[in-house]
Amino acid sequence: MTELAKNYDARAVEERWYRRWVEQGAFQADPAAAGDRYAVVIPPPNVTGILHMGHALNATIQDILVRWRRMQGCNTLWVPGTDHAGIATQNVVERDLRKKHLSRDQLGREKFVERVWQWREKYGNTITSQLKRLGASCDWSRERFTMDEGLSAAVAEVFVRLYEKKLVYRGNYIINWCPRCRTALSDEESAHVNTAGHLYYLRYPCLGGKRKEAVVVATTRPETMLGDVAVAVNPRDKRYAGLAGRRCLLPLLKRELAIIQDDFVDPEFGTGVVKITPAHDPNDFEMGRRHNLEPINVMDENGIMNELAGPYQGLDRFECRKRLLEDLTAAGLVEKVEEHTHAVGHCYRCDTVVEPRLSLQWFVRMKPLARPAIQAVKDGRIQFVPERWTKVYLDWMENIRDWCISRQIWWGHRIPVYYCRACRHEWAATRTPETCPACGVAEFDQDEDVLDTWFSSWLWPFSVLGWPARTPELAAYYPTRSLVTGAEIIFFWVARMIMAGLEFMDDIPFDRVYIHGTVRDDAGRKMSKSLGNSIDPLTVIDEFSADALRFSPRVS
Amino acid sequence: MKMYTDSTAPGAEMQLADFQSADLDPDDKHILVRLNNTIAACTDSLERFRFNDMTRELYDFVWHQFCDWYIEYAKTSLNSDQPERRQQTLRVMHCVFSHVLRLLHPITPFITEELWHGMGYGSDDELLMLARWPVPLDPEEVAGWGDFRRMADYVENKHELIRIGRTLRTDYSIAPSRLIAYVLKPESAETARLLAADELSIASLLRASSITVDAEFNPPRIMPHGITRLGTIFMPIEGVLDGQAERKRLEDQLKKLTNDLASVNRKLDNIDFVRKAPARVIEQQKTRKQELLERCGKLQRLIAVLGG
Repeated sequence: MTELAKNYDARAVEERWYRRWVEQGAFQADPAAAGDRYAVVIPPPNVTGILHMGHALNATIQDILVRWRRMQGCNTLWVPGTDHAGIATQNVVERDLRKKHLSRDQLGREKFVERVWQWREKYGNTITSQLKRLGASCDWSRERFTMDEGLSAAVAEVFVRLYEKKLVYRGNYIINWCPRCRTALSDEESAHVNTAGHLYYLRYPCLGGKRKEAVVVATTRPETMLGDVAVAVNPRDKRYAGLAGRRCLLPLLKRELAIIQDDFVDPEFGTGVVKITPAHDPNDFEMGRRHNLEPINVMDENGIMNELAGPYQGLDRFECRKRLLEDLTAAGLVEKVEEHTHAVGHCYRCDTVVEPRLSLQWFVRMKPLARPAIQAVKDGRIQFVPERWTKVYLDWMENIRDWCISRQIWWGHRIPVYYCRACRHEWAATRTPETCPACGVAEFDQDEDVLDTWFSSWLWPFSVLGWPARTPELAAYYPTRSLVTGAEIIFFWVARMIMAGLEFMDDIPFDRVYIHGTVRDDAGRKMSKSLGNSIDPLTVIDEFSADALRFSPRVS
Repeated sequence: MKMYTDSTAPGAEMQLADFQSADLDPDDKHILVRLNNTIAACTDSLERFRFNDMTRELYDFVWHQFCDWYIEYAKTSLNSDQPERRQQTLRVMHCVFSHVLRLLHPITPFITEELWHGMGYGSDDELLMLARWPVPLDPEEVAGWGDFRRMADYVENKHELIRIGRTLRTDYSIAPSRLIAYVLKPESAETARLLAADELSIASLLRASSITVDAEFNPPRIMPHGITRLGTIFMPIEGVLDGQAERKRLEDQLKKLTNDLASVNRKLDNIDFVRKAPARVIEQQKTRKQELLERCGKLQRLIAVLGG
C-alpha cells in the first residue's frame, strides 16, 4: 500500500499509470487466450489530425466499452491506427512546400511522395500520442496505417478482385471536380452550401423564324454556355409546343443548337427552356446521353477556359463569367438577372467551388454490393444505436450510386492497372508485373491515378487483422463488435465497411454501430473554429486531468 | 493522506454475497442493497450505450448515498470503542469503495487505479484495469441476504425522517449546535422496535440530545412536528427556543412578505401593465406571486404552532 499524496498531481499520476499499463502488456491482446472475443477498431483519425473534442468523445466511448469488457473477462482487442487521408495530407505537404517556394510539379511524383512520407515520420504520430494521454487502452503493438505494407496489399487484392468481377470499371463520366486540388471528388466529398448567387436569363436567337425571335434560357453558371450542345423544353409545356424541331443560335460562339424535348426539363424552373451542357452538369450529361449529343468540354483541370471557349480561352471560370456577361449585355442578349440562392458544391478539403466535369474515372458498381448490406441491417444482424439511424442508412443504400474511386493526386494507393505500350492490353495485378501477360513485352505504364482514401478504410475491420492472409487475429477477432462513430461518416465509411465485409469476408464487420452526438457548447452550438467556441481537449487535460475530460463531455 | 484502516483493508476482497444479515446494522444493509442496484444499473446502461445514465447513476450513488449518508453514519461507528463494530463498518466501507472504483474505472481510469493501489486493494502488479467487473447478486443470493431489502426500505424512510427533522430545526432557525430532545411517535410496533434499536444513529444525524420513541405520545400543547412514513417527529422547543422572540421574528417576516405580495397583486391587477408588459415579465410576476403565497402560508403555519 502506498501513501496517497496530499495534492493530486494528475499529470504525474496519469503518465505513471499509462506507462505501467503499457509495460505490463495490459492492453495487449492474445488471440489464443480464453474468453468471449470483443474487438473494436478505432475510426482511424487522419494522420494530419490534431485531437479535438470530437475525437476525445469518440475515443473515450470506445475506451469505456473496451475497459468494461476487459474487466468482464472478455478476450479484448482495440486496434488503433491512422488514415493516410489522401487529399488532406497532400494539401498539408503542398502548403509546406509553398513556403519553400516549391511546388509538387517541380519535385515530380516520386520526390513528392517521399516528402509526404518524411512529413508523416515527423508529425504523423501527434494524434496517437494525444490518444495515449487521454488514456486509450489500444493495443499499440497492433497499430496500423492505411498505407502500411499489409493494408496496401489488402487494397490491391480488393481492387483486383473487383476488377475481375467487373465491379470496377472505367468510364467517361460527369464527376465533381476540385479545380484547386485538381482531382475528382466523390459525391460525399462535395459539400453543398447554400450560396447567394444569380439566375441569368439569356436570349438565344431562333433560326428560320421572325427576326428578333429568341428563346430565353435561365442559368446560374453562364460561362458553361460555351459548352452548350442544345436547348430543351418539356414536351408537355404548351408554351413551347411550336419550338420542337427548330434550331437556335448560341450567342457569341454562333454555334447552331437543336431545340429538343425531354421530360426531365422542369417547366417551373426559369422560363422552362434550359440549355444543355453535358460536359458541365450531371443532369445535362444524362440528357445528352439520351439524345446522343456529343459533350463539349470548355474548361481544363484548373477551371481555366480552354481552346473550345473561343475568345475566352485562358480565362479563369469566374473571370470568364464576368466578361461573357459584359459581352452579352452589350449585345442586348441579357433579358434579366435575378437574385438566386442555391446549393453549390464545395470541396470538403479546401472549400473551393466544385466544378462538375466530364472525365475518365474509375468507379465501383455499388448496387450488387449494397443488396446484402441492406439485408444485414434489415434482418438485425447489424443494429444502429440510436435506432433512428437505420432509416438514414437504408434510404441512402437503396438509392446508392456508383462510387468514383480515382483521384488525380499522388499521395495514396496507386491504381494497380497496367497498360501495355505494345499491344494496348489492360490488366490489373496485385504486384508490379514484369511483363505484359498478353504479349510478353516489358514496356507498360501504370495508371496515374490513386484511389480514394476511403478505398482503404472501407476494408479496415479485416485489413487491420491481417487479411488477405488468414491470421490468428482474423480468426479470433472478426467480426468485431461495436463500431463507435459520428453520423457524418455513415455513408463515407460505415455503409462501405458493411459492404466490404460481406463481399470479402462473407460476414458482417461488426454487430453494433453506435452513433454518438456532436460535442456542443453551453448554448447548444456545435463547436467550430469559425465560431471560436471550441475547447482544446489537451488544454483541459493539462489544466485538470484526462479523467476530468472523460467524465464530463457535453453531448447532444 | 492515510485512510482510516487498522492495517490492511478489510473487506476489499469481500463480495456482496459474503455479508451475513446478523452482523450488520440497517445502514450497512441499505448501502449494500443500493450498491447492488448500482452495479446492475451501470452494467445495463453500458449494454445499451447509455453512458450519461451510467455516469449519473454512479455520481448519485457515491455522492448522495455513500457520502451523504453512509459516511455520516460510519463516523459514530468508527469512533466507538467496540472494535468488532468498527471492523464491521470498515468491511462495508472498503467493500463499497472497492466496488465503486471498479465501476468508475472505465470512465476515469487513472484516478481509480491510483486510489486502488493507494487503498491497498491490489498488490503492486495487480492492476485495477484487469480486476473483475462487479456482478449483481443472483436471486438465490438475494434470498440469502434475508432482511436486507426490508432494512434498506426502512433506512430510506429513516433518511426522510431525518430530512424532515432537520427542516423543523431550520424553520425555527435553531443553531446546529443546539441539541434537541426529539420525540418520535411511530406508525407501528415494528417501526417502534426498529427506531428504538437505531436511536444512536438517528440522534447523531439529527444532533439530538435524546430520541424518545413513544407510541402513546400526546403533546401537552401544540408543538413543531412533521409527518413521515415512519410516524410523526416532534420537536419540543421549551428551553431551546424563546417562543415569544421567535414568534415576533416570524411575524415580521410575514409582514414583509405580505407587503411584497400586495405589490405583486397590484401589478397583476393593473390592466395597462398586463396589456403592455412582455409575456416573460408577466410570467415572472405570476411565479413570484405563487412563491410568496406559499411562503406566507408556511409562516402562518409555523406561527400557529408557536401558539398565542
